[in-house]
Amino acid sequence: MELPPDRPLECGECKKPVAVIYTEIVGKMIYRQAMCSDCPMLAQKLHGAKSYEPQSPLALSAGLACGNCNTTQDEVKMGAKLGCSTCYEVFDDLILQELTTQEKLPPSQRGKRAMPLHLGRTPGQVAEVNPALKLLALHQALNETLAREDYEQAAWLRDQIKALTEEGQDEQKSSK
Amino acid sequence: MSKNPPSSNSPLTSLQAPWDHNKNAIWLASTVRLLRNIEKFKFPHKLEVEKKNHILQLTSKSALQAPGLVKPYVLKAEEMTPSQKEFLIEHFLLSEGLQEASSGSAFLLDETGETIISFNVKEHLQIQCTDCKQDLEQCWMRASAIETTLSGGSNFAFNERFGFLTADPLHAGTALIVSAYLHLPALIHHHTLTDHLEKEKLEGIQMLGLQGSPDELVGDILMVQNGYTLGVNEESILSTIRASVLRLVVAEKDARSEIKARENPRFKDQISRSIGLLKHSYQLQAAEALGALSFLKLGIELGWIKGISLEEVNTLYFNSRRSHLTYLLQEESPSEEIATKRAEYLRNKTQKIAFAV
Repeated sequence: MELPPDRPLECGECKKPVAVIYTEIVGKMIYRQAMCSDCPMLAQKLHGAKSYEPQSPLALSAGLACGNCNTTQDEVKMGAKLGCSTCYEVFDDLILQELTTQEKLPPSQRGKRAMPLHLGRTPGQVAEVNPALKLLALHQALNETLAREDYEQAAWLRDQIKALTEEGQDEQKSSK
Repeated sequence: MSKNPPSSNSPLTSLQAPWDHNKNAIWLASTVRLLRNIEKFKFPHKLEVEKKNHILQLTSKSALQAPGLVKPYVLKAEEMTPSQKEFLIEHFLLSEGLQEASSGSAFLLDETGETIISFNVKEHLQIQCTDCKQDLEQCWMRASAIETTLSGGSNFAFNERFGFLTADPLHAGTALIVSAYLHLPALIHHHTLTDHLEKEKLEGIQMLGLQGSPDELVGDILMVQNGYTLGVNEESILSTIRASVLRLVVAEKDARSEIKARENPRFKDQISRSIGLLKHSYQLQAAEALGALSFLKLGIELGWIKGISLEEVNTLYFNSRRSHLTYLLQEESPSEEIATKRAEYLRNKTQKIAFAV
């Protein structure tokens, strides 16, 4: 899809909505960057480059990093991508925190420590979906429309249920 | 029109299906995305080019054997022009930019035009299938059949706690992203969509526009996507989307019936203005064109417009976007001329349309 000019919808550095467009003119070049309101990059640009300050070895060791791919805790906090599978072990708590604050976990699963969060398939497991899923959704919608006395849509839904049920019966017959 | 188009020998120009016969009125299409990474390798953005090529070799060979593909072929990103990449984004409704995809990245396509496997873009593997038959379940089965074939050749990065591991931690778990594309002009312009969105918010569903934000619905198309990939299983992702889509479709149908019964003057006005825009504009930006086409489509559904079919309008939706337009006209136009070309194309296609109430 073609983007309207100069209107990025999310920050270039993380995935939060854009609040600030930062324009920097260096020589003849104009650099434009979209940022969220609490972007650490923005703080860095406005209040001087902190990363250029000489860091003591102590401060460096305090920042956690993945031994396999060198992704640092700060990077993950800023919403950077993870570098490898090991990151998931190293930044376990941080990821859980991020998933919780971004509401990317069902409420029942939020803040669960040291428990499997994954409920889906495991590698190699055969994919199967219950064919009744479609019917279930249709029946649910039908009940809702009937409760609203919306008979026009109820009839439309009932036709679909009928078509699906007949289709299922035909398949059963032909497989016998 | 130039006789020697820059792109005539591109394998992409043959990609028309599944969009060229789309007759859907509200639920236009859906996509199912499965993300997978190969065990022991760093994720693509940290991976050296030789290792990317190694993964590509390893996986593309078995991917070419995957079930359901018709004459599959692999395109290397480094051999593609920016406008070819954009074509892929438009055709497959891809959510991510591909312009950074270069050495070591590739795409597997096939003649059905419904499947794309991306190698080493954001993740090592992204399997995406398109569906225009409102059959999410079957679409998911297709994607996972390809995934099963690929898992035969190499182990996927997986752990018990986080499921399938992805570079973006917000996609781990099932690493399954299901999106349904709904055309909801009546709900949107009747200002009742917000109420519906509030209701759906509670159920692990995300509502987005084609460009990401739900505040700007280009062409009145709403994308319904699962909000969770972790902590839920595949079946519940599919059924949540299906239930949510069905509710929105019913609401949209209701809104359309009401508009039709009352011959709502505001909608009459907007539909006839859109015809004017399409028939008489000299320059049209994409968002404006899609907005007008949306009203045109609504007008057909309401029986207020004659001279064009739903199928034709759905095709115009696709063809009025930049890279499709470029391929269609078979000439690269400078970007400032695109709006003129688009208006010209739409003018030609909409001459026979008449407002008939």
